[in-house]
Amino acid sequence: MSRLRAPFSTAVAMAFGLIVLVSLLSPQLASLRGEILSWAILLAAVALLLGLANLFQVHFNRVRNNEKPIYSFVLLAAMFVTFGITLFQGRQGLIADWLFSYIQLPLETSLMAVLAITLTIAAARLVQHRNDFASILFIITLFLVLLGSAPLFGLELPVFTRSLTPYINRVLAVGGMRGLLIGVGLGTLTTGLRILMGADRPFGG
Amino acid sequence: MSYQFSQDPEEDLPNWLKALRRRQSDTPEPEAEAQAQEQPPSASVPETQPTDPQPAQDPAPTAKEEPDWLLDIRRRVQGDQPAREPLPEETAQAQPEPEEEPLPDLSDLLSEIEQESKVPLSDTQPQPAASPDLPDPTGGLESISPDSSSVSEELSEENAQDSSVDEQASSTELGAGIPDWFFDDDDEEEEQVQPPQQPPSPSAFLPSEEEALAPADLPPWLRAIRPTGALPPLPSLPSDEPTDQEETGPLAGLSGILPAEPEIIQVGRTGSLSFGVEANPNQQRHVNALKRMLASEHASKEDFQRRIARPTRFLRWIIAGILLISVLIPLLTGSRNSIRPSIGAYPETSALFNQIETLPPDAPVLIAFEVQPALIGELQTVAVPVLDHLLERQARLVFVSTSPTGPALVERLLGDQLSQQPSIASGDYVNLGYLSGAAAGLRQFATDPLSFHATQWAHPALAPIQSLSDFSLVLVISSDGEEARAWIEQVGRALPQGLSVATSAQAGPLLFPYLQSHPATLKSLIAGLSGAANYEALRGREGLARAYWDAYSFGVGAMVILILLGGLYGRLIHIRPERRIPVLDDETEEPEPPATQEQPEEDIDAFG
Repeated sequence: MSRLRAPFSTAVAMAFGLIVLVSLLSPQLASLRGEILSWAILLAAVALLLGLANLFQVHFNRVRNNEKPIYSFVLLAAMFVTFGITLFQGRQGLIADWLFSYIQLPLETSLMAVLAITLTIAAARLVQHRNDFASILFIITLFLVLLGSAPLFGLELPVFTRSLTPYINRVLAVGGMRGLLIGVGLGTLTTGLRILMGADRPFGG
Repeated sequence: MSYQFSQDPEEDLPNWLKALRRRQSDTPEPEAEAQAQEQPPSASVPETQPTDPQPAQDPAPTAKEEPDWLLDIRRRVQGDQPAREPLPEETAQAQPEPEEEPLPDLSDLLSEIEQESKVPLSDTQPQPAASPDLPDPTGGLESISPDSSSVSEELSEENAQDSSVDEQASSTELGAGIPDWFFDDDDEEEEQVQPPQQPPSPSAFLPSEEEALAPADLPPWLRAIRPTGALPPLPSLPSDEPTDQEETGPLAGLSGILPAEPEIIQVGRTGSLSFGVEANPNQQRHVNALKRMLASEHASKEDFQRRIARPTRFLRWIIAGILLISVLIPLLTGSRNSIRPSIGAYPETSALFNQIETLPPDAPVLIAFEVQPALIGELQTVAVPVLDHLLERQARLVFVSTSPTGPALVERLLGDQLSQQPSIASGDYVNLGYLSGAAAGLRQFATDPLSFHATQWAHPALAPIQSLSDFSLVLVISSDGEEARAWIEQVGRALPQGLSVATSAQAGPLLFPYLQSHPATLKSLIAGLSGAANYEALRGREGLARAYWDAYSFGVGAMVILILLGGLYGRLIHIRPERRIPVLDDETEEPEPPATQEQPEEDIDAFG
C-alpha cells in the first residue's frame, strides 16, 4: 500500500492542479474550480487544527521526557484554557476578550518595541563590525530615509522630507521592489510547473 | 683507512719473517715440530701476549704457550747469553733456578733489542717517511693504531735474536734485507741506555694543545642553533690498561691495535636536546602573542560570554532609556509643535481621501483587516482616521480577515477608538470573521463571496451585495506587505473600482509598484504614521496620528543621533592604530589574560 502512495498522491496533485489551471482559461469549468477551492479552504482550516494537535504532541512529549517541562506545561495549560473558554463563550466572550486584550496583545506589542531598540543598536554597531562599502551605503541610506520621514525634534529638513526621501521611496525602492516581484513571479511559475510535471513533490513520495 | 686481511695469517707476514720461519723449519726439532703440527696455523703467533707495559709483573710464558720458532730463537739467545751482559732483572730471575734455564722475559728481550738498535720505537713510529729507503719491518702496522707497541716489541725481539745469532754474518739472506743500522750494536751505548723504554701510550699519539685545530669561527646564525648541552661529556681516552686481544689474523695475540673511537663506544641514552635560540625583541613579542592565543583556548566560554554580555546588556538599557525618554516626554507634555507633512506630499493618501469623500451615504465598504497583534499600535493610528472618515460618510462597514486574530482585533479597535460613532455603538456593521485558505480562500472569496459565512450575509444592509464588485470600496488594512499583495493579486482583478490599502510604514515601499502600474490595481495607499498624519491634515482634524507625531519626531531624532555616534565610533575603532603587544621580561612568566577577551570588552564598553 505504501508503494502506491507516492504515485497516487502525485497523480492527484497533478490532476487537480491542471483542472484549476485550465478552469482559469475556460469559463465552463469555473464551477468545478470553485468546488475544488472550497475543499482546499476546508482542508486549510483542518490543517490549523492539525497544527494545534502537533503542538500538543510535541510539548506533551517534552513534559513526559522531562525536557524543560515547566515551559511546556505552562504552554499546554494556557492553550487548553484559552481553547476551552473561547469554544464555550465564543470569540466575543468576556473572558476570551480579556485574555486576548490583556495577555496576547501586550506581549506581542512589547516584542515589537524591543525589536525597535534592537534594530537601533544593530545599526549603531554595524560599521564597527562590518566596515565595508555595503555597510556604509546602508548606513547612508538609512540616514537619508530617517531624516526625511519626520522632522527631527520638531524641525523639518525640507531637503530630506521633500526631495531626497521621496526620491528614495518612490524611485529607488520601487525599482528594487519591481525586480523582486518579477523574480517572485518567475519563481512561483517555475514551482507550479514542476509540481504539475511531478518533478517536485512537496506532499511526499 | 681499511685493511683487507686474508684468511691465512701467514700470507700477511713480511718476507723477512717468512724467511725466518723457513729457516726455522730447516732445523726442526722433533718435539717442536710435533707441537707445531698439532697447533693450527693461527697459533704460530702467541695468543696471549702481554700488553702490560710492566713486563716484570707478567708471568713468563711457558714452552707450551710459545711457538716452535720462538722457542728456537730463545734457545739460541740463551746459548749466547754469556756474551751479553744480562740485565739485573734477568740475573735476578735466572739465579733462583739455574738448572731449569727459564726463558727470558719477552719484554726484557725487546728492551735489549731497542737499546741495541738505538732506535726507540716511539721515534720510529711518528716518522715512518723520514727515511724512505728504510724498509718497514712492521709492515706498516704502526700506522694502523697508535697502540701497536706489542708489534714493535715482537719485531725488536726478532731483530735482537738475529743480531745475537748471526751478528757478523751480513751476507746471510736475512742480513741482506735488513739495513746495517738495524744490527748496529754498541755496547757502550747499551750501558748508557736507560731502563727499557715504555711503549708509547695512546695519549702520545693525540695532538697536543698547540697542534690541535683552532676552533672554527661560526657565523651567528649557526651559533644560535648550535646544540648546547645535548651530549654527555666524552669519556677519557683508554689508558694503558690491557684491552682485548686479537684472536685471528696477523694481529692475533696483539691487543689495543684497533681501539674504537671514544665517541663510538659510548653506550647509553642520548641526552636531551636543548637548543638555546637567540630571539630578538620582535620575535619574542610574537612568541608572547602566540602564548596568549594558546592560553585563551583554555579560557572558560561562560566567563567570556558573561564578560561580553554584561556591557552589552548595560548598553541596551542605555539606548532603550534614551529612546523611551525621547518618546515619552512629548506624549506626557502633549506637545503639538512638530510640523505635520504637507498636504501634497503623499498623493496616494490624497487619492484615498478623495475616494471616501465621494462615497454616497450607506455605501457598502468591505474592509479586510489583516493585522497582527504586534503591529496594532502602528496600524490603529493609520486605520482609525480612515474608519472615522468612512463612518462619518455613513458607510456600511463589512469586515473580514484571513488572520485568526483579525476579527478579535477589529472588535477591540472599534470598541476602543470608534465607539462614539452611532453605527458602531448600535452595532450596525458586519464582521464576517476568519477567512481560511489564504490565497486559495481569497480567490474563492473573490469569485463567490456569499459562499462564506452565509448567515452573516443575511444582514439587511448587505442585501444588495451579490459579488465584491457591488462594494463601493474595498479597503485592505494590512500590517504585512505579503498579505496586501495576496489581496491585490487574488481579489483586485475582480474589482473594477480597484483596491485601497492602509498599511504600515515598512510595507509601503513593497506596494508602490502596484500603485504605479497601468492599469493601476492599487488605487490609493496610506502608509505609516506619516501617511496617517497627512490624512488627518487632509481632514483638518487632530487624532491619534497628531498626538503621536511629536513623539515620533523626537524618537527618530534620537535614533539618528545614536546611529551617528555608533557609526563614528566604529570608524574610529578601525582608524585607531593597532596596539603593540607588550614584551614579557621573563619567558617563563605565566601569560597574561588573553587579549582576545579584553578587546571586545573595550569595544562594547563604548558602543557594544
